[in-house]
Amino acid sequence: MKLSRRDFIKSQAIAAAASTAGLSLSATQLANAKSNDDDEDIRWDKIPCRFCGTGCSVLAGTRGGRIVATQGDPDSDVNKGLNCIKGYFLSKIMYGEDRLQTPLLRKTDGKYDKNGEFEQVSWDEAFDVMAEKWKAALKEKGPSGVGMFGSGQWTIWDGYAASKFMKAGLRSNNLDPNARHCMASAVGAFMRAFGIDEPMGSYDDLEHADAFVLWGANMAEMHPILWSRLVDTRLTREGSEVHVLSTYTHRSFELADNGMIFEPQTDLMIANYIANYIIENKAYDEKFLKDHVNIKKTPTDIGYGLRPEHPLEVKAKNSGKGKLSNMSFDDYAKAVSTYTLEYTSKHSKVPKENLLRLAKLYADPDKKIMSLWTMGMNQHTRGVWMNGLVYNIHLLMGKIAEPGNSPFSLTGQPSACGTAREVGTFAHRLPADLVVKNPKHRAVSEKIWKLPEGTLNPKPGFHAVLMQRMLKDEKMNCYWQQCNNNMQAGPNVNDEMLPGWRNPNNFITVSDPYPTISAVSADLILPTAMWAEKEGAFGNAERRTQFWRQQVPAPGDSKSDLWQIMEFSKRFTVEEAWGSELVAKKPEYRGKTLYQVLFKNGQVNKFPYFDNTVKDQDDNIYKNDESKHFGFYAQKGLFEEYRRFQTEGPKPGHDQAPFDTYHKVRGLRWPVVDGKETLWRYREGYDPFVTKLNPKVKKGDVYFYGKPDGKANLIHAPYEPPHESPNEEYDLWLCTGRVLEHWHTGTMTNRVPELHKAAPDALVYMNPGDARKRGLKNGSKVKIISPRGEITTRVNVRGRNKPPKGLVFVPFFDARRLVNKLLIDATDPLSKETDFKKCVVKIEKA
Amino acid sequence: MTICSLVVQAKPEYLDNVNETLNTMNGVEVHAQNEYGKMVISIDHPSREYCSKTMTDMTRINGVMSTSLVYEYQEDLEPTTEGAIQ
Repeated sequence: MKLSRRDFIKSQAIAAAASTAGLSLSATQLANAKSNDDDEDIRWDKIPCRFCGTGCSVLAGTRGGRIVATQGDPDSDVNKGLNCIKGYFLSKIMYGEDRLQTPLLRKTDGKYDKNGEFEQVSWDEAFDVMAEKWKAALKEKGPSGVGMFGSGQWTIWDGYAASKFMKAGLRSNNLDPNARHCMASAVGAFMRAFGIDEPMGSYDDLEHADAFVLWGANMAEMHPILWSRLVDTRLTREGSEVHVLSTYTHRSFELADNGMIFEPQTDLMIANYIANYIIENKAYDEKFLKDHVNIKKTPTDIGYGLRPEHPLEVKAKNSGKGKLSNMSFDDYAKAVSTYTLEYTSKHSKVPKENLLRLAKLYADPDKKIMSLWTMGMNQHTRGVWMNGLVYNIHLLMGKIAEPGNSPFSLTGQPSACGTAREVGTFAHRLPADLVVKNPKHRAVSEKIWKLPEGTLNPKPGFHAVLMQRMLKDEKMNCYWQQCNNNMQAGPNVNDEMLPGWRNPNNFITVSDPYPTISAVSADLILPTAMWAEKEGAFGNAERRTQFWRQQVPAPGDSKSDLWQIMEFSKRFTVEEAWGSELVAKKPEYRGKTLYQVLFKNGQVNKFPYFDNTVKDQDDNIYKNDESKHFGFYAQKGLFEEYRRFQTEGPKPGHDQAPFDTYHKVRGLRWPVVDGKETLWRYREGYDPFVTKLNPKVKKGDVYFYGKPDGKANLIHAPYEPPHESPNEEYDLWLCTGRVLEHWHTGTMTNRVPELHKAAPDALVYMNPGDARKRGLKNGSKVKIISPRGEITTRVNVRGRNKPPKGLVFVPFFDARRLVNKLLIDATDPLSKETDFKKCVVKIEKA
Repeated sequence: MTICSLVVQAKPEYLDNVNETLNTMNGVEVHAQNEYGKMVISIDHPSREYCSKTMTDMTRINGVMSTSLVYEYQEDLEPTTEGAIQ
């Protein structure tokens, strides 16, 4: 049989798709695909996708030092061989024409000048100038004078090294990740309800659940692979249904059996209404509540996380407060009884029959339900409350911690969980769910890190939004941003961010592979190695830790974030960073650098690295530029030291497998005990910690071991109004978010010509009625004006997003129109996460 | 030359419609499908950009609930090298 090369490749492609879909092909098609193709010089290796928090594994094909092809990894449990459109272009994200290749410093006449032009400098000069500024700030203001803003896109060891450098090295807790903007509310609610971060279930629930409820997540566009698994269940399982809640109609509504558009902020009412329905109909699981749940209430009237002098904060009785107090079941029932069907329907504008159908679904003891949410619920001035209200529903029904019954918080970044959350890069945290405030947690951290007693600072540092306010107010003078584009992604850019960055007394460093808005707003730009250009590890939304090897070299003089942090630490002596009093407690550290104390400490440098010895099972050889430079296997040493927090720390249930294991498997979901991963936590039979921590537990029963008494908290929280609402002048809600083709601020996806062409401009999606009222048509040029600023763009009334009257949607990927200029920096007072989903605007013809 | 294969999930009641629309798309072939609306599809076209655009367009066909890529091959083949390999 003669077969052209094209036919052969096509047969292979079709066979792969059929096998993924579980469909059969004709015998000829199969035979064609089985022919021998030694596609030669392409080396294939697994690597998790660089984009969202799903954590798809892809196979990357490398030839001549470049990634030339990617495909969905058929051996991955997450994506089972599938890939979304962004994954399709993964191989191109590193090869944008404007890739930065040398450090760039603002200079005039050969010297650093805040108002100078960017000039190429060596790493030595870059770090000399930066260290001088940092030392001056430390001397003048102490540890709070410097800060670092990291990322949920950092690898696990990038984040771990940053945490160690800032918290142990410079004794500053001013370290926060951009995950503050996306996941902080989810974290807050997990800690309050369960005492341990991250979901109890796993993606396997997508195949076990009968019904799915999306609370503020457009999975069809933002988590396409998980969506395809959900679609599969919906279309193949008898009686399966999908309910979608949002403030505007989006692609996920096309599968919805019950689609609901609610008035912004009234999700708080809807969740309480469901609880009320369950109680009134006595549908709750009384035994589960008695055995496994404590009922609590949270302080109300807590403000909106604005500056303290803002009238809304002055007015709030309990600004920022969250201490829980006990509540009886009867008082709880009474508290939610306000949220009747009539009341909730009237305020949310969701028809009664839709609300009732949703409530009945949750109240049906025979339906297994997966609730899913992302930014619609987290980026909310009552995000922690709202996350908690959904847990309340699952706890009332006992529908939790078992296959198919799963409240599931999705993530937007590839390692928001693995790095930002687990490694403790938040301003109040330490690794493995430990916190800086707790003396016992500090003590165990100091022991593992071999620090003198009292090194760690007990005061939480500045969180993401506060850091920007402190730069503006000159309370913090040095700022280092890595692996994110906060000048485009942060809120209220013009009023609260840019002034601090351009203040002559501040020194701003941005590490980035491309000249983003952040990079060009800085004083020093450090060129960064990207994901496949370093050995890395991410942790996805289902607690799965995935590793990869360095696939290709970084271009020019760019270096990984890890290299940058470790190398910069060489610039400080312990005396400069700690002061002589603290050094006196460990005289053997005298005269040493932070690099020696933190990274050459006999632990991190424990594993030798001989050049070119990173090999896979097939003897393929991979480089590891950091290990070559430092002379030890840096990633392994950091990870193995980090693992000690999981077993020696006071918070059990975080165990990960040894470093080498992860290079061999397609990821494992922690806790990993004796090589076995955990798919459902807190339930006997699935989670080994249940029996370990509660030997008397009954077979198949639940034990919420994150809390001292093994019980979860059901936390009542009422509806409270949003920070601002449309008024006579600003008569529309603005909601921001993403679109399928682009990821976040577009730093990577806008460098892929195909994706850029597919969605070049951020449009304003608008209701046709609202457009008509303003004399606008599809394509009209308009100004969007908020009390903070304005942008110009074009109207779309027929697009994928269809807002109701009174609301418009604008994506934030477009660097030419910074929609975040329009936003107010209102945050959830508990989680400090910004509300990117609600502010007021007006729209005029431009 | 760009060849890619996809798994498309359509609502079963829309299968005929979806098939019809797919058949009008240049370079697109449907190879298998089942009663739940799952379909195996290939796109074969010289331009990679066309393939990505087509994939996005497929997502927007009425009745299509999800589109996922499985395999993609891209190569700049000169017409002369495209001979038989066996």
